[in-house]
Amino acid sequence: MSVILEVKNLHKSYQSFKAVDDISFHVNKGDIYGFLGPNGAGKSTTLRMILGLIRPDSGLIQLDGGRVDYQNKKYLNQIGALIERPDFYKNLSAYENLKILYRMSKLKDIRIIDDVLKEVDLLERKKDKVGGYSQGMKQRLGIAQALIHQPELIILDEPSNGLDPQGQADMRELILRINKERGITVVISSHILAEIEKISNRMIVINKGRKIAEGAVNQLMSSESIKIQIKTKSHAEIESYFNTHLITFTNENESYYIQWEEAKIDELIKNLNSENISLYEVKQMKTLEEYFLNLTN
Amino acid sequence: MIRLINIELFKIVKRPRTYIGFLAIFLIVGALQLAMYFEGEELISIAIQNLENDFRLEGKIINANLLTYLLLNSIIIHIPILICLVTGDAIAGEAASGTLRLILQRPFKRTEIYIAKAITGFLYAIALMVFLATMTYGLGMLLFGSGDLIVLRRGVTVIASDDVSWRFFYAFCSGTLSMIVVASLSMMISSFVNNAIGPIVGTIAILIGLNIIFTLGAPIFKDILPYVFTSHFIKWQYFFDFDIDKLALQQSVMVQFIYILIFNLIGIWNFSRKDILT
Repeated sequence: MSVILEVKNLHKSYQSFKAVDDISFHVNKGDIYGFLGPNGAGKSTTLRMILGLIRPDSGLIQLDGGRVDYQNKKYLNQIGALIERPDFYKNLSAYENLKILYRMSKLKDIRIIDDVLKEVDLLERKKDKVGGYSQGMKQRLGIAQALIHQPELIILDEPSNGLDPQGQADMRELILRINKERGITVVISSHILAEIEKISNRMIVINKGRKIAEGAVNQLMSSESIKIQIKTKSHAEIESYFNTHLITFTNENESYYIQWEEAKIDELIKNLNSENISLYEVKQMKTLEEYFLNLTN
Repeated sequence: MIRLINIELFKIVKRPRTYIGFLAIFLIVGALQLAMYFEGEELISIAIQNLENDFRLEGKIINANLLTYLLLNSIIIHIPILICLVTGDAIAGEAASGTLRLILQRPFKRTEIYIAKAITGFLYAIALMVFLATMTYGLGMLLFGSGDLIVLRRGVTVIASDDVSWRFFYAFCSGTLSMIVVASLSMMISSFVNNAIGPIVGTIAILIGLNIIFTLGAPIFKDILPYVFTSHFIKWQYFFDFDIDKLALQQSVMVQFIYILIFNLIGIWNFSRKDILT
């Protein structure tokens, strides 16, 4: 499967605050790729950097194998996006809003406006001013504007925000339909694990600007893939041990998290003790959900 | 670029606040013209009573030319407020409402978007000045007709009615250039902030501040006065002198063009590199 979007070692800081700290991931063509993290994790910042709304301090973003050039915005023809709120010109109708974006995308066939409005079920309300739209209608119009230039990839930043459960279900159905029928790759961010689990085939989990986990959703969510939380005061020693044994770890609030096989936990504890690393808590986190809830709580 | 300018014009035409300036000019100039129509003789006789001690004034003193001159004198200083309502909103307003994020996701360079917005702002300033000219000179002609123009500036200058039109044309052009400087300033400020009020208040504060400082006439500022853009906002009056100081007017045009260039270059530089966080 070919890669449509690749992000390597992305960094962004605001003074001393690291908003995005060495994030790397790739999205395959046809994926619905989940971008999961608690509020303030760095999801929107990462997605805005892909779109050129924020300039990264360092790192590489490649679209279809070509490096994203912030000076030449032509790569944006391949991407549609709905970032955070679906904001529009409230004094204009849905049709007029899309006409502005249609003209900015240098498209040739104006019927595409009606086509995307039909796709999101807003065709009959196209002449109404957006100021009078409900949140759900605005979200759907947000999807429509992301689709208008027929991109290969759409980036949806928390598209279910502010929607009731029925609205959320409708939004999921719409995203799945766009992915299947139009063959568009989707990157969807959320702070709700269940939302990503229901819709995505692959995902990344980030927190405090750092990558926590990445992979196929079913693999990450299975109980075989156990997260271990280790609490210790021997920070230097344990980090040295992990690095020596090529164990990937993350460090959150005095705790270290690693991916480990359940059958080998005893062996790990023995090895750590033999290295004089004093442990005062080792906890199994059965699922990613448990792990994620621990992060967000 | 033409496509972007058309889009910006469409947005301006559809925005209700665009018409505040036109409505304000219509109401203010209309009210003043009516006041002059009904009570003009009294008002003018008070204004020129000193002159009547030394000169014998005959003919139609209250006419479109005099009213246009007087109205231009009193109104042009307030036009920047009306211009800022639209140009100050061009970037900051869109940032605040989130639509800037929407348009920056399209395949246009930020420099192109800024230039399109700036040109649209200039066209708005020109439209406002043309409307002001129509309301003052056009309506004045309808209500009062033409006549010789008495100008009280550096003494008394009487300009024959057939020698006035071209002076007004250049005076309005000069005023329009000053308003384009204002539009550029507010656009520049607009690129730095993310709320719609900031550029309007910021621009007006700068204009008022500079006016106060230089109206006081402190000697310390005397040498830099010719290089401060606000001091050129009244240069249109030079066109009503008997001997027009062409050199001073050329310098004024040049200084204002340089300010337009500087404000827009700073605006483009900042807009091109700013992170869109709203």
